[in-house]
Amino acid sequence: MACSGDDASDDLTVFAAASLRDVVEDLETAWLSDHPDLPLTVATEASNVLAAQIREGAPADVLMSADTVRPQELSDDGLTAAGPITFARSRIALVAPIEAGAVQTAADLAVPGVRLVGVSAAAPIARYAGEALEQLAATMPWPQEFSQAVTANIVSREDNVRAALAKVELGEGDAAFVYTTDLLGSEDVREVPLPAAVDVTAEYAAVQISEGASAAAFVAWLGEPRASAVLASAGFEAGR
Amino acid sequence: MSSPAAVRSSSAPAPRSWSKRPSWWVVLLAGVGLAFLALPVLALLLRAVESGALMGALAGRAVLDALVLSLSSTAVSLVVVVAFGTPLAFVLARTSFRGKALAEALVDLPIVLPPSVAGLALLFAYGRNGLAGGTLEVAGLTLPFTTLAVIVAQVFVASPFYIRATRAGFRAVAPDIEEAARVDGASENAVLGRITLPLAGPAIAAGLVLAWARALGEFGATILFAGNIEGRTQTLPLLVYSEFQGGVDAAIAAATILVLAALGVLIAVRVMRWPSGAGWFS
Repeated sequence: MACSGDDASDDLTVFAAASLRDVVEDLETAWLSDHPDLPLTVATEASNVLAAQIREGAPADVLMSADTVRPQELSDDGLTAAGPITFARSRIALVAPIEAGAVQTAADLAVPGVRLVGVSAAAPIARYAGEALEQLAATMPWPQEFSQAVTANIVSREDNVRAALAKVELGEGDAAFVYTTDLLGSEDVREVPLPAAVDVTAEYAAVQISEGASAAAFVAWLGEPRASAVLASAGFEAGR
Repeated sequence: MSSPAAVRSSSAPAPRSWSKRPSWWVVLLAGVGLAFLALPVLALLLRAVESGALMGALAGRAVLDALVLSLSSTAVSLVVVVAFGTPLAFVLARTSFRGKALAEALVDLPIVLPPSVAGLALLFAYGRNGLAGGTLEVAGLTLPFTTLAVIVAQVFVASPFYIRATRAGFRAVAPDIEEAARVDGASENAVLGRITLPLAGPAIAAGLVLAWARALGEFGATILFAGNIEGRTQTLPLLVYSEFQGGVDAAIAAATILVLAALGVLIAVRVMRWPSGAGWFS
């Protein structure tokens, strides 16, 4: 456990959104080949949890959030060293267990008894899922009834998007809203097609928390071609 | 753990008194240790009083829902723990059989297992795709994400505490007292009901209290196995965790309720003074 401030060691502590868990390893490898003297220490959790931890004084140098809201709030409250920068995007997808389950089409979400696994309302995915649901409801004959039925089917509010995904992978949940990039890394879930009218995209923003050249360098590097290539290969749409 | 000679009687051996006071450094270290344990509790209570969060959050539905769920689920869990734990404790205390060491290790295991591991294991055993999941489904039961799953998690983590204490209680009942009852013509069931259970009573009660406290505080296995949704699976510990990610007030309120409940139980247990042999408290 590093202490902020006095800690003179040259490693960077990066707090990354849960949905970045896999890609951040590849980013780390790419970063290390560019900056062998600046190893990363990565912690992944729901972005809101990470932001809360930073508020409580957690020693993060950089926050990579699954939204732009938390970084902006931290920045507004004077807790960052620079403004947030969007570095990637990912679309919202609906997933179900790979083996035929209760949810074949998006309309099945409203069938009584379907187990939709949600995420803590404070997490970015919860807001995106809410938007997707709203757009989905608008395509249904009775939007309000549809929304209510789907909401009644939420059986849990997990900690972060990966925990919700895990419950679907295990077959305990029938469906969950995740990021398309989560889908690529999982062999146990399939994507449930959503109507074309449902189109929600998450914006990932990075923000420099601590003063110092290396933290600034990392945030800037996220926009460079090398990082963009890694993000793209993991299914993210890179760039601002 | 328990004194082996503990035939339950009021004439417990009088404690010898130590005349010499401990050295100053022993007292100092003891004081530091006590302060370390007391400070977090004190800080939490101070914060609760200071923010006035307790009354405000108690009026809110989330805390009340969680409180009701915690109380009702732990009550049901205790019934289950007693129904199956008492016979198990009796068998472990009074018989020897092949594989008994393994059985005792299995009983103790949930105490040592991290609750998150317990939650995962419960999913693989009693989840929809778990080993027993198919059987349960046929019976119309799907456990994960239900209040029933909360109870299953509590029973799993809490029963070892009850079984350990009760087993010690059964062991401490002197065989000749039971034998005397039998000679007087008492049936086995009468011996159990009139002699053994009452004599083991204090130990059983101590086990109950510990098991309840453990069930009340259960977190890791519940959040993995039962999920986290208000009114159905969100007990007080889960509420503390969830609320901490949003507003802190409800978290403080729920945490304070848990601390006061636990403290109250422990103090009550102290005041009641279990006779020796109760194991955990004496």
